[in-house]
Amino acid sequence: MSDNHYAHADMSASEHTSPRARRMGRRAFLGFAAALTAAGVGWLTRRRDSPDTTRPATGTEAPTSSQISEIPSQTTLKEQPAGSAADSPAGSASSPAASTTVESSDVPGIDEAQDHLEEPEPADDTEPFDVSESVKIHEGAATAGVIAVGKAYLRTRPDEADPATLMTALGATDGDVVAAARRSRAGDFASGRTVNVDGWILSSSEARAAALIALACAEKC
Amino acid sequence: MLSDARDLPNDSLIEADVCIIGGGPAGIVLALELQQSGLRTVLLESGGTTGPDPATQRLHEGESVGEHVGSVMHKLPLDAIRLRWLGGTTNHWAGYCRKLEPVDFEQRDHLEISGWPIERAELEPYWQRAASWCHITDSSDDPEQWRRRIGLPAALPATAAVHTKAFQIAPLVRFGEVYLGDLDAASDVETVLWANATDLASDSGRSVSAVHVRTLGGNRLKVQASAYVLAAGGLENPRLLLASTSADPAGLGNGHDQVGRYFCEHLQVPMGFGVLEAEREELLGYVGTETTIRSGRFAGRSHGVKYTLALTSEHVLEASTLGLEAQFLVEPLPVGVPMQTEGLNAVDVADLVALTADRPPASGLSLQAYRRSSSVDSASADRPPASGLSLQVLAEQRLRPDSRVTLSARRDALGMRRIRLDWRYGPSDRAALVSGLRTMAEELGAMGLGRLQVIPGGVTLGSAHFFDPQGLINLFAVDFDRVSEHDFLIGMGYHHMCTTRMSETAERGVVNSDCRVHEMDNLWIAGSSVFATGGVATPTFTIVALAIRLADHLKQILL
Repeated sequence: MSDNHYAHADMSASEHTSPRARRMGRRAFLGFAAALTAAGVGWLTRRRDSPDTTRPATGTEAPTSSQISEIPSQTTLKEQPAGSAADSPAGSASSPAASTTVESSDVPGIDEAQDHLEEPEPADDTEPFDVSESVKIHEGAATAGVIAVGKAYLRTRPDEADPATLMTALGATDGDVVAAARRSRAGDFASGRTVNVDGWILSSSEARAAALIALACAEKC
Repeated sequence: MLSDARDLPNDSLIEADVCIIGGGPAGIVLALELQQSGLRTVLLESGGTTGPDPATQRLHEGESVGEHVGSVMHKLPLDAIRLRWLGGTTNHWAGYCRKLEPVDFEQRDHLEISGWPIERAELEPYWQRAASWCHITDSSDDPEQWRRRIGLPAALPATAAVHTKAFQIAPLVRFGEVYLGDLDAASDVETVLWANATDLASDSGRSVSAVHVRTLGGNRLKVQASAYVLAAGGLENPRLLLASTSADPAGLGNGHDQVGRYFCEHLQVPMGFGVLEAEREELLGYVGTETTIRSGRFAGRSHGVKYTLALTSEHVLEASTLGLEAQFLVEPLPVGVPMQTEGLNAVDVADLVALTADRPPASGLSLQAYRRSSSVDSASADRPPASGLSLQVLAEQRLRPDSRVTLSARRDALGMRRIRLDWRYGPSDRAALVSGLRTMAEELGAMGLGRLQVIPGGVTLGSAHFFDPQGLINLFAVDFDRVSEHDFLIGMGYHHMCTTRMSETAERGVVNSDCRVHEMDNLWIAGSSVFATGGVATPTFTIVALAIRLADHLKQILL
């Protein structure tokens, strides 16, 4: 699909996202996390010895181990004991058995994103789990401002508040959402594919990239 | 020569070839253009050479029964938005010299009232001559010319929707001060100070026979001339016509009930803020620079040159919208103060811009100092920080006959009925403002310049300085509860236009293409009241150009 197609799907991206596309989006999102790690701009750390607790409780669309082979070794999520996800109403309601979660957010749908963060298979060379630093973003993309933009976008577009939808709409199949946003930004503006976020006229692609970053970093934002 | 109406014998009669009422830029330029032509001119000025004189200024008091008069932040009375002494409103003129846009002269199908009865090209030579009166070099509004001439950076690329126009900013040319010596030295121009025209006498309604003049002290004078020119401003010109009822109770030149209608302004509203994507060299032209006049009478004096971004005439026509232009104010984002207490602020968006920009972020002050508290280990401290952008927007108003000047039942100290201003604008004006700003936001984004925030009505008086710590553009805050595209307050540019508009016929205006009142043989009007449309250009430059043109015309028909 072309960038144009995704941009025009601005108002109905979630409704028109096929299961296959959603799977592809999910994989891309996971790849995005990998890209963050590989670029040294931020990563999610996961405890290596907790594979069972990071499995989604449900989810027939959960990727197979082969599907998530691209997940970086350091990609890990904050892990909490089962049941302690009460801080995350949506997450606890939808995935009561999942012990890996992100902090509750005021962004509708942001907690659903944890399903996608939970799925990566840990690699053998991950660092030992440290809950206090379970989500860590070191530099680069995930600044407070970008995350604020992403959260604000998701408030205006709760229908896009899941990574698969966003990845599909952004067209970042390689997981590099920043590159995708850079590619599409000028064209978005030139073609009127813009969004109004608290009055700021932003390109649809850059707003979605910010939303993906916000979802990926929900723990601390 | 100068004279004082208070010192002249009561019931004096002054005779001249041309009587000009009003000593603002139009009246002064017209009088001085007529000097040494063989015509004797009388220039009547209500005030003195300095001001304001409180009692004289109160003659401008009136009723405002329509939209909010003043800036968005401050409502103002009618006597505060005009100045009644020699030089008129040039006594608070910012010096912006802009030419009207081509679209202003076009008949536009989507507007009930539009277009001028003259071609824009007809005004070009008069704009050129107006430059010297305004102490600027010439009337060129082509950025490329300014680039070649003084090394200004090239303008941003023109698109189908927006383009750049250059304009000059005159030094503080207070016409009363600057041209007082010339008026005093002109033997064939008598400038009568403290002289208030209260009535244009007419027996037939086809011609003026005399102007009745009074002073606040009770002196009465009469001026008789072959030609009379009203040059008292966009509100006083219709007032004098409506108040002159000796021949017709509806007033002079008002046989088709057009006098005072179509009152329009330049709509001004703070619509939000902006963030620059990169420190583009082109921006220097929009920030403006100073240059020196190299030759001629004002050689050695400096004046400003600045670019402004405007909707193209083609876009205005194609989108069936109204004109809009924005001047840029670029400052580093402020330190230590929140620009908004809620919602995304410029600092947040600057982060996004830094992430998605093709170029390095614009330089400025550190973002880190006022970044919101966060446990995120941000790398932004290592990035060049961002610059903010604020726009000064001037927008065109749709002409409507019910936006008008009439007379109040109240009278001033001279017994004249006061003005009753019913300024109106509507949903289409608001919609054009918002859509125009969004178009600019998209164009600037496509150019890789930055991002704009469009929050109509949301910018309010706040407690924190915004871009300019000196207070030029400050004290703004954002209140999202007030953001509305359909009901937001609009301020005025204090440019009162079109109340005796130029038109082909008497059914759609008051003066013809020579600025003569349609229904009168010897009465002309000068000033922004004759503008057929308001456009987006600040009016003084065109007021001066039209005065020069009128002087040429009067010389042609009177000599």
